[in-house]
Amino acid sequence: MIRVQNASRWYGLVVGINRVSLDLEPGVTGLLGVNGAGKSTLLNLMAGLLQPTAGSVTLGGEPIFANPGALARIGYCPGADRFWEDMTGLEFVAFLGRLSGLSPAEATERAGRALQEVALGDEGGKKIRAMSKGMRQKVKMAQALVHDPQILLLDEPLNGMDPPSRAHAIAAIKRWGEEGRCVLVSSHLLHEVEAMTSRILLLHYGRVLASGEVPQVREAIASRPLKVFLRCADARALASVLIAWPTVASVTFAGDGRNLTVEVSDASDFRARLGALLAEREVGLEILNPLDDNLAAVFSYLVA
Amino acid sequence: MDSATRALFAFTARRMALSVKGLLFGLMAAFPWGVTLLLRLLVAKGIPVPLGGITLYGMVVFLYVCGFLLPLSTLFFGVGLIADEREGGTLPYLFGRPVPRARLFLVRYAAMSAVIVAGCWASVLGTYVLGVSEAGAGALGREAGTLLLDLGVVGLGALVYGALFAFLGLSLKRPLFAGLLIGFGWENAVAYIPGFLKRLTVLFHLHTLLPHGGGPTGIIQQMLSSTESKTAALLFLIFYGVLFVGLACLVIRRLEAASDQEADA
Repeated sequence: MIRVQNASRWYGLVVGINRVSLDLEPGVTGLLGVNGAGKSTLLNLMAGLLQPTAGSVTLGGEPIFANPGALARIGYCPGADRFWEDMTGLEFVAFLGRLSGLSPAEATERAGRALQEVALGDEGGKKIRAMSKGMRQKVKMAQALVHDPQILLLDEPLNGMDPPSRAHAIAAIKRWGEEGRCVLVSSHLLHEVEAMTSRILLLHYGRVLASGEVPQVREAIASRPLKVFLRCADARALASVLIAWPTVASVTFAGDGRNLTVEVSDASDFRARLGALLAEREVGLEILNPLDDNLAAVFSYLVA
Repeated sequence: MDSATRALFAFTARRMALSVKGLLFGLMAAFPWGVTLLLRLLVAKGIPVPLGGITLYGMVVFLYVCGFLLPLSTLFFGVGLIADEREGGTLPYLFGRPVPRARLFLVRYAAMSAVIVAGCWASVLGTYVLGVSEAGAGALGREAGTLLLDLGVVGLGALVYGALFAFLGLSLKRPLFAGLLIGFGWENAVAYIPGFLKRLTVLFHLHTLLPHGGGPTGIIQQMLSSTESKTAALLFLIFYGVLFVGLACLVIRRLEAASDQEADA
């Protein structure tokens, strides 16, 4: 699919992205980063709207920039809230469908379907200038979808949507990923990305800081021991066993004396040892919950 | 013609015609009708006017349409052909679709030319009917050859000026100023200077092709004292048109839809 190899993009002296390499695989990938991290630059490069200053961005071995063959397989939802305002949502999506080679009838039919897919439905007949921010976002998503592309690049698609629309959009994005499309979604909101996928690509100052499944990324952050919450009948006895393990950095008691927070330097080793311990003897373990292998923790550890 | 080409042509032409620029262009195209009507009213009231009939019509085509309406309309539509989409933030929608860049430019250029030619022809035709019919309905038929030549020259002028300004719009960051300098500085100043330099203008060749040199007024005859043959003028204009369209096609292939870091802001 899309392969980015050592791609850099500079705007004069300002770095957009710097030596980024990645392969966009089928399924949903969350693209994370603070403002100015290079998310939109990366998406624009992958959508064939920008050329890399160095390196390459290819689809099936062919450069994407200004390449109709590649662009036919990509659907791009830009981040900017820009439209031809005097068109209706349906006209807008159908027009862009026709530019993708659909016949007039097919474009109108597919545009209607794409608008249904993003839950805009009949409201797609409104002039875009009369639409709310959330509805405009849906129109942008629909135009990315109208020609049934294999690759979807969505730049902050949930901005301005109300909670029900967000939930619907998240479900739709997950569905597109499950259908086998390669979906790359950028967002500032970690819980939204977490609801869509566990696979992330974290950009910071134009470089890829981390990529992969969130738990794997978390484990790879060696400088921050993983925090695990345990609740068991005899916390003291369990703590005395755990503290002897080389993988356990600290054990803290909390609450009513049945709660433990354990800092673990090697999560795999800890899981293996704990599994063996539970098989060997009864410790009355009620809850085992990793506290900071979620996206928010990963993000704050890597970026903050 | 495929679906994408037809859609893009209709879209571009409609947006240009229905824009503020389109409205102003329409008003400017209709301006000579008002002047011609006013002069005919004055004549009808017995007030003597210095110009009328085919002479007035010839001056309108020569001075107003070729010297003002054509360069101004092609300048404003031409420089904005792609730049307007870029400024409006809608260029990613066009460049993100599987339409070859050169075709995208050519279709938009064709749509722009169609709008400008239609407006300029309406201006010429209306002035012809209102002005020449002063001498009776028979005069309309007698001068039909002149009218057809004028329409051809105006059409060719729209194509060449359109190509020039579209190329400037694609190549320069602030093309309007450069376009004004070329359209109303270089073109008008150099076209009347003796020597070869005037052949580097579009206006000089358009004037050579216009049939009004042999008209009844000495003023136009003097202004059109060109030693260039009509064939040479035609070839120069075709060369300029092809050159600027070709250059524009080359430039647009490398043009980026989002070229500033504001994308990440």
